[in-house]
Amino acid sequence: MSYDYDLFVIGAGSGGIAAARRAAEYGAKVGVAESGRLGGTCVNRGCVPKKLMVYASHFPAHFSAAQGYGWSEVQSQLNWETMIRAVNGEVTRLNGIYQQMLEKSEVDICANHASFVDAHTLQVGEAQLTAEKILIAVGGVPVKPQSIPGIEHAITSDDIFNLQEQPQHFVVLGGGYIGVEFACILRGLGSEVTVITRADKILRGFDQDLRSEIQEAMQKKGIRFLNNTQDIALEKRDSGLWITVKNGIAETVTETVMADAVSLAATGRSPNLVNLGLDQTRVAVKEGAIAVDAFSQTAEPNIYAVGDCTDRINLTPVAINEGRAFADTHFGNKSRQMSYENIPTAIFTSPEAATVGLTEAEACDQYGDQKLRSIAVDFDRCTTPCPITTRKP
Amino acid sequence: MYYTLPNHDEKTLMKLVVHTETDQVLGAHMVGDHAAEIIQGVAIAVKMGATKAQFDATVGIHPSSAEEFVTMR
Repeated sequence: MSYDYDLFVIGAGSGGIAAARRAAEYGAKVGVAESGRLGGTCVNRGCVPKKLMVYASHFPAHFSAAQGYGWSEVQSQLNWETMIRAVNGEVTRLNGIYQQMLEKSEVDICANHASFVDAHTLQVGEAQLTAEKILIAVGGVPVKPQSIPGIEHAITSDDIFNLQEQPQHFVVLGGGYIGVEFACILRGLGSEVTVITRADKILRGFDQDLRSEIQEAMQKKGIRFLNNTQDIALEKRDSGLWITVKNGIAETVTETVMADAVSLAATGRSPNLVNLGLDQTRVAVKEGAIAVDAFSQTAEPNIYAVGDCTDRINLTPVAINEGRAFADTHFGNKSRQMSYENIPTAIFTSPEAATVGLTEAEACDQYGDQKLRSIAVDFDRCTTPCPITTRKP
Repeated sequence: MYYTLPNHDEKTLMKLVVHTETDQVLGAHMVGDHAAEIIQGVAIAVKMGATKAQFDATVGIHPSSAEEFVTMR
């Protein structure tokens, strides 16, 4: 039986585009369906616009530092609208570059939603297309916990890049990396910022020393933290959005914070599997994510999935590597698996943080604390060594 | 060093987690300016299974923050 395509990819984000282009370069006939803008989360509402806003947020500190080097005082005000327009302009430019790259690789682009009719057939807009292999790369979406009263008044990271005005008091719900990054961006741009977390500290899962160091540094920059909270509730009043939380340790203590109608629910992301028609196939879904093996193969042998929709390690370079490993294996005659060990990652807070390999706690679990030593230098201002602590547990 | 003249209160943390028997560097963590740019290079060494002795045998780039990763004891 012959198919319209050797490979059809659902979703033109980081993983989908990488797989489509690599497969096409090997000579496969490839199509990709994307109902939104090309580039997916990373380019349109993630890494790229986020980092541009991080750069924007650093200027006040540079202006202030300049005086230490003999420059006169810098008087400068942020025009929020100009910043947002510039950031979105760059995103549009990148959308165009992705389009050119796909066209150059001779990948057919279908600007439509795709859903399964059967394991080899997709409904893409008005058309039905068939493909020998199908790659699902639909990504993830931010989720707002519906258990929080008034959560409908909160925005998510998707919305932040289109705010018409700078929030004057910004409240972040959640201490994950997305939440703390936006907390630092808004603080750097001059907003009052409060971060509310259920845990005792931000950035659960990262190394303890790194978590403490970042939270303390953020506090020093004037970000307020409400840790160990429970029973969060949001209420919209004429004066703004009121957020009430209970202290999870001293349960009688409640705190109320006011935000000017903006609050970011940075409370997690989940795979975007709505209206995908997976029930027309044997593709298995486990805990809301597409279940795949080490070769990104689903329970339906000709269907594969990469990136955030599989909820393995949700990072752009991981999705790209999974997509390319898939293409190399099936179209390039180079069978390989993505390696998940020692994946480095960064947190673009101010100060910035980055990490690779095991945290001290993970290493203790794996090897026992008798077989480990952790060496740390913690210094301020000077780069030549003036270590404050050197620890050998 | 950047913060010395402006007298800004900015700290930098660099941390290595090392296996005492194999001397392998199991993890590298950093908080401070350019952490992402610095850890990307360190990640190659960690991915290759480098030992602390091999880190120490590497000459630092001076003056930089990154050199701490090859001079810390």
